[in-house]
Amino acid sequence: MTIRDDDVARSGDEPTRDEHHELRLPWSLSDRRIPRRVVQPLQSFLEQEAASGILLVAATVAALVWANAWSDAYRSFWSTPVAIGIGGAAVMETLRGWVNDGLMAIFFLVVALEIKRELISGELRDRRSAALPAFAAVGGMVVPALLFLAVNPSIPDSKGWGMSMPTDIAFALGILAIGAPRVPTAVKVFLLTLAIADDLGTIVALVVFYHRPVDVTALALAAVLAATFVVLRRVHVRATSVYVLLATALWVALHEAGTAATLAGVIVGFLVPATAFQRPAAVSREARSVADRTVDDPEPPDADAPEWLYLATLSREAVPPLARAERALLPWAAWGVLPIFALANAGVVFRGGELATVIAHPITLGLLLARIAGKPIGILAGAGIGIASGLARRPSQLTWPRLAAAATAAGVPFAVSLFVAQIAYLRPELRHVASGAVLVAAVVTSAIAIFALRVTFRRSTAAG
Amino acid sequence: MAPEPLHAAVVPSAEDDSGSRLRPPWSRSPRTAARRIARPLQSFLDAEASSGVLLLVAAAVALAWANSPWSSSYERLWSTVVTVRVGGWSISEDLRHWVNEGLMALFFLVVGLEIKRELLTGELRDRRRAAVPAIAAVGGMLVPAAIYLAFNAGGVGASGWGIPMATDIAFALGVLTIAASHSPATVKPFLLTLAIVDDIGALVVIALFYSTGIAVGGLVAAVTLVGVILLLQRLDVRATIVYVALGVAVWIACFESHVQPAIAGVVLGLATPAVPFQRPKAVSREAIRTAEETVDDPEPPDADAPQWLRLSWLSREAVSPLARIEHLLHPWTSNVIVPLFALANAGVVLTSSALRDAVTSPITLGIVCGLVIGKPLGIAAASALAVRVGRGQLPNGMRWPHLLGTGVVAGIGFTVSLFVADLAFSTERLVSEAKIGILVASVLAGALAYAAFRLWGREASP
Repeated sequence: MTIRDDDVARSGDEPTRDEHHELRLPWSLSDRRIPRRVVQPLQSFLEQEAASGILLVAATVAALVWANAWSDAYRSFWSTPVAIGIGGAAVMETLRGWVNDGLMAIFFLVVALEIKRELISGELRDRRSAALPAFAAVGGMVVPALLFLAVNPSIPDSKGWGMSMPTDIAFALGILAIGAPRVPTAVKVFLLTLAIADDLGTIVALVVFYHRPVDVTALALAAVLAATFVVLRRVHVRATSVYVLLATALWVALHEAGTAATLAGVIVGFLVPATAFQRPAAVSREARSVADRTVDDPEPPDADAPEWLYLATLSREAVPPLARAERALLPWAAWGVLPIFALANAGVVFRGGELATVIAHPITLGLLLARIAGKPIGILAGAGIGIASGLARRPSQLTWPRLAAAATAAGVPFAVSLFVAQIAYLRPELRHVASGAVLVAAVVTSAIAIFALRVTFRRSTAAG
Repeated sequence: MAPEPLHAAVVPSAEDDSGSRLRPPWSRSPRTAARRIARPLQSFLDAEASSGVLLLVAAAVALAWANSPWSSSYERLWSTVVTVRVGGWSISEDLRHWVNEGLMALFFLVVGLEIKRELLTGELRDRRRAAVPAIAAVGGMLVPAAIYLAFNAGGVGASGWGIPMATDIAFALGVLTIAASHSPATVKPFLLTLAIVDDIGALVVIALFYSTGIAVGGLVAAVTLVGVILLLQRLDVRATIVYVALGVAVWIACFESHVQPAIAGVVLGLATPAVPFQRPKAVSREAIRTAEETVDDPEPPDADAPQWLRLSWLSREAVSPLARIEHLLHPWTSNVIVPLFALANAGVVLTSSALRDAVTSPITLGIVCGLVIGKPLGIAAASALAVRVGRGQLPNGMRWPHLLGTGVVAGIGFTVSLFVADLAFSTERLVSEAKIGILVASVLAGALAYAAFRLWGREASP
């Protein structure tokens, strides 16, 4: 998750320091020592493309150290129950659950916003370009699952085939940021779309094949809420609070339905309108007239407040809600949600003997094969079939080597795979092995992906 | 309550810009539902008396509901327990107390903002003038307590002396708004100041005499957090989210230390800056610059987003945080939170035996006499004393009849009285007698105040 260079959020929101000297600077931009020595350097660090990747790695390392040095503290901290109860009903999750289901919904919301923007005005505007990651996702789900089943043909080991399908968006993006900091947008968008597509595919697989109990009433309620969102949008209701409320309700409904609550983020992201409420020309005219109507020293001091608040609302309405939401949430998603997610989930405890048992197990072998070989092969094959059939098109920036390198990043399994491991296996010892297998596969595939990305993109940058 | 109803602020409307191309939101659109329902509702809510009307309706509904065949559902709803739990720590309260202590803290925040605005730029800028309502409030607390004790000294009800000391700000202002439309504008801020001082007094009484003990740790934490807020303001930290987080922390600290969270609201309101961050002139220049630099059809569609968002940010900073928060919260507190409070608290069960007990109960009589007679007496006497000894003068245009009327209005004890009654008595019967006393006194005071302002208000006006 990175900010595009052309619209570094901070310079958009706050008065900048050099020009307009009559504007009064807030603390973070002032000449005081702490802002000058700490806050401003921190801000320029965060504005770099690789910042979120670096933070993610730092959080992962911190999680590993924490989990191995103080394993009880790590486990008990992230299993702290946090609940909101009303009468008999309650939404209860561990702290880790709130991070994975709650905070990550914000992350998925931002991802959906980015994909929607690309669909409307960016890389995916051409339908055939948009079809490519869909084809690739299907290939990237089928081939790994088949490979896993080939290694583990009999029940109960075979039940974990679903673990080989999902791509972990968070880690894939983090790895992309570390391995290829100046990656072309086309590659990043391809990976994002692919990852969303196979997340949706995994959710379908969970419901259909794993008979995960789904509360149909709650699901219907979620559908009604999403429909309400659409209707309110159509009749030009603009109050943000209404939509925030609806989104929260949708999250609760999906959470209660037993599906992935993060899906709420994806749905809401795609529903956010991409056109501005006001024509910029109309707002420009109003801006001039407010500037004319107001005075510098009103009496009482708040006399012009309605005028200024009116202008504040209108200037916001000159920006598409999609762009507003993206700018408001992107920094939180990249620098808050992702590192916290890694901190909560990456704390693998390594104990000598255990590791050996896990590595030797056929489940691990199958998963490794599926994620290292199956994912890239499946993605390339799916993309090839799509292009050959004429239904999909490969953007010129997305060369085959780049596509292959991105496909290795899609091989990193994590949160959703861990989740599948929990419901696929009933016997605790198999569950344990499966969780270990996911973690081992995550480490191995991450290393391979970073290497592949480094090689590919160093070469391609040198060539270009 | 604001002299200029900020919440009625200009919204792009279909009518006033026929020639332009601003697009109205749903509530201003020519759609049937918007035209027939949303817009009339909005103009009702924008009117100042709406809060008082909604409050009365809510109280009446609560009474009717609690005495209807569905009375059990009333109790069941408001005693639904809502819990927030993190590990071993939890806040668990019934719905009624979430309203009383959670939402009402926002109401008191707005009250704090209004007091600050009045003190800095409004009627109460003159400290000598502010002194009179403050002294009046003290008189209006001592006399009712004395009258109550005259009925109850040595009896089972003696501990209820704090009940008739209170004034319900929302109810009193609501009645005043409806009844005193012909009275001078200074009556309202006078009552507001009086009621606030009264409330703070009542909360001090609760803290000192009715608390099982304020936890010092939590209190220190709350005071420290307020200190941090003031420090960050001095440093020019402006991010709203920082102050929202700190405000919530202050609320939790107060809640944990058994300090009424309402106090937290008032304190935070008083701590809010009343001066805008930017000079309007500088923002005007930026507005014109943005208008010149942006285009009507940018490519990509969000190309001009940074400029527009920056202008939006700056325009907000041209308004003081005090005015911004008031503008944001005022419609919610007056039209939603306070009526909700009345709905949650006014539902007293009135059976014939309860009423029979109440008529002869010294508790009920002490409360009714304390509020209906003691309040105006104490307020008028203390004001007269304050003016006589030269501590100040009555506000512009306010005459003695207005003062007496204000005193009667202040006898609507309702909210805080109900609150104290719950703390003072543990037996169901005593609580019920007290609540009946509070309701009767509040209705009587309200009716008398209405009559008084209608009769005297007009005559006394110049």
